[in-house]
Amino acid sequence: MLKVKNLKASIEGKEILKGINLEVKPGEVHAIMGPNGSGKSTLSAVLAGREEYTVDSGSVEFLGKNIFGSSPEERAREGLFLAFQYPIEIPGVSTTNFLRAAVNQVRAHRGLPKLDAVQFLKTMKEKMQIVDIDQALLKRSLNEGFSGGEKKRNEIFQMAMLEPKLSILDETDSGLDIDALKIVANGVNTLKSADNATIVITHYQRLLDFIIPDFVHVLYNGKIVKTGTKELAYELEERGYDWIKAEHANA
Amino acid sequence: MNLKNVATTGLKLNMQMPNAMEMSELLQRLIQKPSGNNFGFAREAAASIIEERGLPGRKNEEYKYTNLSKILERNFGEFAGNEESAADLSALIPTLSENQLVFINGILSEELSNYNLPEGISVSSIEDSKELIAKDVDAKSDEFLLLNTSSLNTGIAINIAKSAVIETPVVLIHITDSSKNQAVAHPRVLVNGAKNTQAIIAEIFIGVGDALSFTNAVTEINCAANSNLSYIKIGNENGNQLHVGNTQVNVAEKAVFNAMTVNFGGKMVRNNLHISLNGSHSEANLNGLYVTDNKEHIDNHTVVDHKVPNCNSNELYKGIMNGSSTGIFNGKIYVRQDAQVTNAFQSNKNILLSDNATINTKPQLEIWADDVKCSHGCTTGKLDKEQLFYLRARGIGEHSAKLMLLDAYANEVIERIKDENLRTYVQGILHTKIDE
Ligand SMILES: Nc1ncnc2c1ncn2[C@@H]1O[C@H](COP(=O)(O)OP(=O)(O)OP(=O)(O)O)[C@@H](O)[C@H]1O
Ligand SMILES: [Mg+2]
Repeated sequence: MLKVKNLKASIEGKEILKGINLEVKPGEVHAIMGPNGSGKSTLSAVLAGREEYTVDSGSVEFLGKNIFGSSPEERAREGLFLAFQYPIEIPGVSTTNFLRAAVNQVRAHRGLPKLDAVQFLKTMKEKMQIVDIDQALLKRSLNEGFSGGEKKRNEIFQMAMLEPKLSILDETDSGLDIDALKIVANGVNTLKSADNATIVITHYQRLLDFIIPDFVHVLYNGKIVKTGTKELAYELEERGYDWIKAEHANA
Repeated sequence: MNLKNVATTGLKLNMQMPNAMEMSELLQRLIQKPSGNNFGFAREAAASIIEERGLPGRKNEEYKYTNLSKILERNFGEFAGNEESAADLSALIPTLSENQLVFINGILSEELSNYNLPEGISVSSIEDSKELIAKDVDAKSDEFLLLNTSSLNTGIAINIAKSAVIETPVVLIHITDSSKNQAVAHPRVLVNGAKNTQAIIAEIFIGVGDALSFTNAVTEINCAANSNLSYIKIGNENGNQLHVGNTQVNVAEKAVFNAMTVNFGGKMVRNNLHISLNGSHSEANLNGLYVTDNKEHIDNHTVVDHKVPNCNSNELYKGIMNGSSTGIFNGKIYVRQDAQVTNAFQSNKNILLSDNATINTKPQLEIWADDVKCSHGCTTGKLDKEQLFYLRARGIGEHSAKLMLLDAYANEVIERIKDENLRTYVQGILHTKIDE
């Protein structure tokens, strides 16, 4: 599904990703952990097509195709989804209207007919249940004045609506209370299938009790320096990152 | 050319002669002198002031960025008279209300108008309101207002009777038609809202034709005590059109006046909106939107004059500028010494879609009273990259993402148009304009 090979990327002349290798297969859940500033959000932004970053070398294949030639919207239509660490507020655009445009453009790309207002509303109601989000919230301007937790829920709701192949959840658990965490995790698990895959970026092992990863990677200083199973997450929870930093002091 | 500063010394005046000649020649072309109406006095008085002062040029502080006289002097040829159109004008006229009056080059067209005025509102010739017109002939009046008065011919007065609540807007559609010849129009409208009235008046300016045209409109609005009037001006002119609009509003006690000024283009457009809050506990809301492209030039000058205590004013003007267009926003707020307990807010926001577009924004607050809450702010920027990326990351194409953001941005102003037909009309023009 996703093959990242020796990916190096920089912003404003500063190298952030220093050779990332990662392969994600359908049905898998990968967790990426790592200290602040190690490049986790940068990796997701580069994968989603953020133009401010320069890809210096390496390759990324998504569903067998090199993605560097395609725009963010093309990647999204192909089935790449990024749940933002900091969802953007867009005054004046309601979540409902925005999602209708998104869903229909994605559907058009996949050769599916547009959903009319009634069908769209029906789908929305179904998916709202998955993340237990209130319809009143969706009528408001996108994320404007939403609480931290509401924003994160809204990200997962959008994911449910867009039915992506690969979802990258960038710290979706941060700022969630324990009940919301369970709801979000449950949403992710409900949407999981043998054909799609998930990358969860998190600082907390706790989330991985609910979304069980097949692999746990540690990203440090722009590189994946360790890969293990969910036991690695426990170890990090207990020991912190100092031992990893020490191992890679001159990385 | 600007005679104001030099008129005291004969010598300098002589040195200015070549320009002055040009000006008086230009004025002769612009001033229309129809025979046989009752305005002789006001017309001549206005003409003599304007002939002395000339039209404002670059040296005039108020018009330094919007030098209409220069364009007129260079390009406005011998005025051949507003000939009958080569275009099908009826096709240009939107249907927005059951009460529509259509003016072609400033003259009411009974044929194209369609109205069925409800009880409580009447339309008459402006000739019945002579004293009001004469009042405007002041040596300090705006030059273009004087020019309009000096050409006063037909014009209408809309009278809203005491306590009348009029739901359907009265829509005046002004077409300036230069399809056969250069055209000049001096539309004149007077709105009198009596006590306790409620009404919506809209003026729409449309241009047709490839030759240069000049629309010089004046609208005066009187809001009596306790009235609630909304005035919507929509300019959708083309790249051959010059437009000056002087809108003068007097607001009496406890009255609410809502102004909405929307502009979608024109070669050079200048809107002067002057609101005097003359009665206490009155309120003025000023909203504006300008969307420019190519070499268009749109200039909004607003004045809110707080003369008495306990009044509120709220102003929001937003611009979207593309191409190598120019926008100007100048917002004056005066709070006179007597006007204690005044709230006056002003905000001007701009999005520049191109590096060649410019906006010149200038708030001017002059406050003589001390118990005043007053604020102003302006922002100018590009479309927000983070927002754009967020939308695109959900599969929305770049173009539609931009439209979505611009639409939301403009809607903050447009949604304040209460009448649905007018709001939809404005949204429609906005979409075509930003979708280019
Ligand atoms: N525009 C920029 N200019 C310069 N440096 C930047 C820019 N954007 C990001 N960086 C730097 O890139 C590094 C990686 O940032 P990134 O957001 O990817 O970290 P992260 O692993 O997601 O951290 P966190 O756990 O705090 O979310 C940081 O040092 C950050 O300061
Ligand atoms: Mg991050």
